[in-house]
Amino acid sequence: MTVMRKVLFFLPVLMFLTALFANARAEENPFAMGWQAYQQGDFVTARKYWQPLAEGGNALAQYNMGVLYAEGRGVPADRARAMAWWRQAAKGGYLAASHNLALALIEEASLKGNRAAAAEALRLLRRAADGGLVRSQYSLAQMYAYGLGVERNDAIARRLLEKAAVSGLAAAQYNLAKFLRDGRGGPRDLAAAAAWFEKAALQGHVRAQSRLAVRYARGEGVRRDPVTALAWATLAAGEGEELAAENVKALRRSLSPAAIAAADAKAARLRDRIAASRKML
Amino acid sequence: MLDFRHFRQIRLLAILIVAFLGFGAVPLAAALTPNSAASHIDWLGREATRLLSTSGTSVAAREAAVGRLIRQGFQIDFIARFALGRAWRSATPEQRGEYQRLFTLYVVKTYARRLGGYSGETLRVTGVRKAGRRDMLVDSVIERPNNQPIRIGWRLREFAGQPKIIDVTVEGVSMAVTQRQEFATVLRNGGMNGLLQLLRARTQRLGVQAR
Repeated sequence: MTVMRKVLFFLPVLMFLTALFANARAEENPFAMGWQAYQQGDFVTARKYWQPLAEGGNALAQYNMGVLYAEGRGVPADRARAMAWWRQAAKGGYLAASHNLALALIEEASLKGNRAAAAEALRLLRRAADGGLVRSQYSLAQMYAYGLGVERNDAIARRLLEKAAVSGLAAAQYNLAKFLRDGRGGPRDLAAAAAWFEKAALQGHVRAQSRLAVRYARGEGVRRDPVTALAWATLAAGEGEELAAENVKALRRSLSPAAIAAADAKAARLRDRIAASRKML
Repeated sequence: MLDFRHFRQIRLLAILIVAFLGFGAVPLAAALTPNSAASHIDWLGREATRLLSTSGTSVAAREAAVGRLIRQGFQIDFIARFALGRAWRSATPEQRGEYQRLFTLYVVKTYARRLGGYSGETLRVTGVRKAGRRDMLVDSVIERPNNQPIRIGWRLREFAGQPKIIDVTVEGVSMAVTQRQEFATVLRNGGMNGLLQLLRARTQRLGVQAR
């Protein structure tokens, strides 16, 4: 028997055994069973697996129970219960729970004018951001950038955006690019702005694609390149971005048929690249 | 408020919204007529059933796909302006832009994430009538195994030759009006910045985690 034949013979056996063991492991792991049910859209079953774990003190299960209640999945939506689960998970040090609890408190503050809730939200977000939770760094940056619940401070906002952007959060990359473009919270840096717009654009961030098109059209922070500008504007316009749609019209009027064809081809390549990177996530 | 008080209605709405997946795949009527409005809603009900029974993809992936289609099927910028009421006029251009962006995200996320758990529910169009000079109201019921049917109304208007949803009523309660009332409360408490903060809080929440 050749090596290839041996491989072909044993492969199905190996696959069967792998599946068997994987299933056995899932049976032993109620959290995984809950996860599997959740991904199948069976939220009632997910809750049945997670609730006992949560009641037993598992912070991750407590956090997920909070999400189920917040979103009304498998249970009637109930913000108070969601917050109670997140509060328990946050006490257990689970940062995503601090984050969601903070946002729920901000909702309370907005709806009821509750200042104490806003202050607690800020403490929780700071804790999660300091602990390295990228989403909290971004949320906190937004609060400082707009002066919401805190005194507006562009320098702090920019530092937080830098942290979140480096971690790969497209929204943070886009906002950091705007800060760099406009010189908010630090010196203006058009090259860095264009680079961050591009990173976000390549993750499919539509407004970043639109703003990047403008950079290329004007040659700000990058070498002027109307073909690349049209490619990015085309992608953003396709997602309903109005500024990009206007720029597509203007660029198409000013470019030759050959340049337009090159831009369309480039847009198609960029679309494929973005789709491929999304599949890898 | 959409997120909690009307969760049951929203879940059902989402089921229907998902049906807009098909709007891009069928030829749209050039003008909004009682027949075209009814046939679109009828068709979307059947398409919703087909799509929601599809398995094999993660909840997040399904919701992301649905989100893109909600943007196509609804005239979200119109709904957003209605929800804001008079505050739209006094908002700065920057605030308006941010509000439109956040409201779109919020509506898309809220509706899209409600699709899971759907099984055996079917939509049936029960009637259609004109509403004012420009709109059509399509009446429908969601029939559910072992549960009372639910009445859903769809208000459609034509935008650039395409029918778009501008409001949905659940058992006679308008979602657009409900939203507007909630926003009015928030605007009284914290002004436009308070409303933007509320929408940010609702759109930046994290979902379930595996570890």
